[in-house]
Amino acid sequence: MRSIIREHLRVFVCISNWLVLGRPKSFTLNFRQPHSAAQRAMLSSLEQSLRLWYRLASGHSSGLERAYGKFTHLHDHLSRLETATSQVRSHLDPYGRSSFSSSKEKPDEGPSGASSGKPVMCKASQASTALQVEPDRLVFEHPPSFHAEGYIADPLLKSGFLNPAHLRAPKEDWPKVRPARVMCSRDRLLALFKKWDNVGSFSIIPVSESEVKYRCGLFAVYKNEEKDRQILNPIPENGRAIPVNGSTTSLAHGTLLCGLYLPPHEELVISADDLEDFYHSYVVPQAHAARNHIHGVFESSVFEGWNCWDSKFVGKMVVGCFNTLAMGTSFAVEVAQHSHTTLLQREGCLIPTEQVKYRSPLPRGPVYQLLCIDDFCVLQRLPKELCQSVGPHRAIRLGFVLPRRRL
Amino acid sequence: MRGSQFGTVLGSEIDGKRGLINAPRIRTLTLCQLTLSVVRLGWATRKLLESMVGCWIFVLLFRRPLFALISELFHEGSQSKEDEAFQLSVGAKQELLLLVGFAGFVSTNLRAAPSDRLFASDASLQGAGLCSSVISRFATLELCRVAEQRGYYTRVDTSTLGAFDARTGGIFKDPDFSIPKVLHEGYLWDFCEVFRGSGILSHCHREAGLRVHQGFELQTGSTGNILECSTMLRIVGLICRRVIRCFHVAPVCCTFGTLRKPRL
Repeated sequence: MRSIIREHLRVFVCISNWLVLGRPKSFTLNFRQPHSAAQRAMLSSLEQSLRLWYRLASGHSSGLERAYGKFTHLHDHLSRLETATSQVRSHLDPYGRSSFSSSKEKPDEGPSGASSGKPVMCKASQASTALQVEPDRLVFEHPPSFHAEGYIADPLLKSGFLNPAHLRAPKEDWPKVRPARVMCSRDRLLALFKKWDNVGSFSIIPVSESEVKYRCGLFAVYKNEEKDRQILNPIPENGRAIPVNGSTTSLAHGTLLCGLYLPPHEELVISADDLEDFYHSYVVPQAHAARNHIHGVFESSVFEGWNCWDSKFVGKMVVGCFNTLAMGTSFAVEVAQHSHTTLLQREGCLIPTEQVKYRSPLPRGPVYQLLCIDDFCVLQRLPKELCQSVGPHRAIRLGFVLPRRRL
Repeated sequence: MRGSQFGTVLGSEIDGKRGLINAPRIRTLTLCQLTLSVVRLGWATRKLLESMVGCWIFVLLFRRPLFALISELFHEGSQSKEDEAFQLSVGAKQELLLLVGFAGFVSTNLRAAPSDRLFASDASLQGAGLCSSVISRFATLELCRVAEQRGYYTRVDTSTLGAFDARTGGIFKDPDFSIPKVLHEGYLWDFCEVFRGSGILSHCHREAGLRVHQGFELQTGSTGNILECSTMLRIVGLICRRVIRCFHVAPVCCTFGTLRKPRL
């Protein structure tokens, strides 16, 4: 590890010199002076930073969390590109070493147009990070129980939440519809419906009440080793809805904290909450659930005995609906951020003068609160002695009763 | 997470003891490995490169000045189709390598002391101006805190004509486009005495080469009597116009007793 760090440091110093010299194409070293004391101190500091970086950067792939899916996708794309280049190389140099390795590759894995003189096309195995829906990798453990309408202060948003038809744009503004796709088989879709139904997040409507071209698709994105995240694809419905984004602008991100100043006599203590399955805890009215109608028409008898069953569906063809707030709905972020903000503010947990918001001045501190949909994070600057003497966990309790000092 | 001094929250890795904030290091290191693979290969598709640059932008948000490292990457492959493989230019490969080289230092040090100087500069291609002023650290922090949060695009004219205009003065030669003079009169005098007396102080300032106002003296009559409304307003006017650098006010050297006539 030490040699890697040294090598990285050497490269860093080289590229820094190269940049300072104006990116020269060639460079002649005429003389070499010994390092000054300041240079030695700087190199030592840089080496220390690198050592820390390498120490904390190592870990299992599970540490990548949500980035794992994206990086895997990048890696796949890169692998296919490598295959493409090696095939091109083998065509150019049939007696070269690369031809032996490329000959072992399966023909269907190769790039299109590699030998025809056309541009080399290298399509990834899948178009995006969207994954097939695997019901076993989706977790629905709790029934929707949060009645958000009591915490939505914006009348338009509240009206749209209760009945999304109120957020619909004039008909002449509706864009041309491209049908959404459910990324799983019919059997798996039914298995997923059953999962939803077990927690009361599923309802059915007669097929006559669901316009085919506005039905929703369904896909998943990688969350961690065990779970995926379910995303509804209501692009056709979203296309004819007016945008509502008042609270969305208050979303906080960690980079906003880069403006924070931590004096030498203080340390930062962090507390954070990440609510599980936040969106799926919202109770939505039937009119809202009907917007989440999924492609796939079934005989109503399939759902007989399910929680969603009602005798009025006997003998009818039906479509399934996701009966809670769906990730993918155009105003879902707005509803979630708005209602969570209102709830926390009413309970005195989120103080506007301490909230870190995008495109707003950073609070003076010493308490900083960040809310990003379901993630609520509180940071506090506390005296170093307090953290060291009683530990950060207890210091944060004492810190709240200390007078809130200004910088 | 409760009362922790180290953790990953809202996409950032925070070290509350050292005062460091950066993108999760494990993700940055993985991104470095993927980036080096692309450089080694020398080929990419627009889709792959866009995705990779997108990841790097997230990492660089934690040390915004390092955005200066990338420029060509934003335009690389813009003529190619999304999935069409193209050979990376030397500049693009250099920029990818620079990102990998700097990756270990893409973090913000929250303990960095705020500067005690304020700098201002323009963004012209010719005759750039730069000035600075001493400022308190509290003021620096306040300025950083309330700084414009939302930037806007300012285009610098890099065309030949633009460069010519910048060199010769361009449209600013036209009186209609000339920069209007400041309404502020500036300092017309360096020194002014109220209750001048014999004016020794004014004389000394004049001797030193400073511009000295004639001052105000009771002996000269009503124009020197500050109890006169017109005189007082004249002094207030000079102060409000900020045309005098320094006032010296020395009340008369006599008794404030009630027997004095006229009374002070």
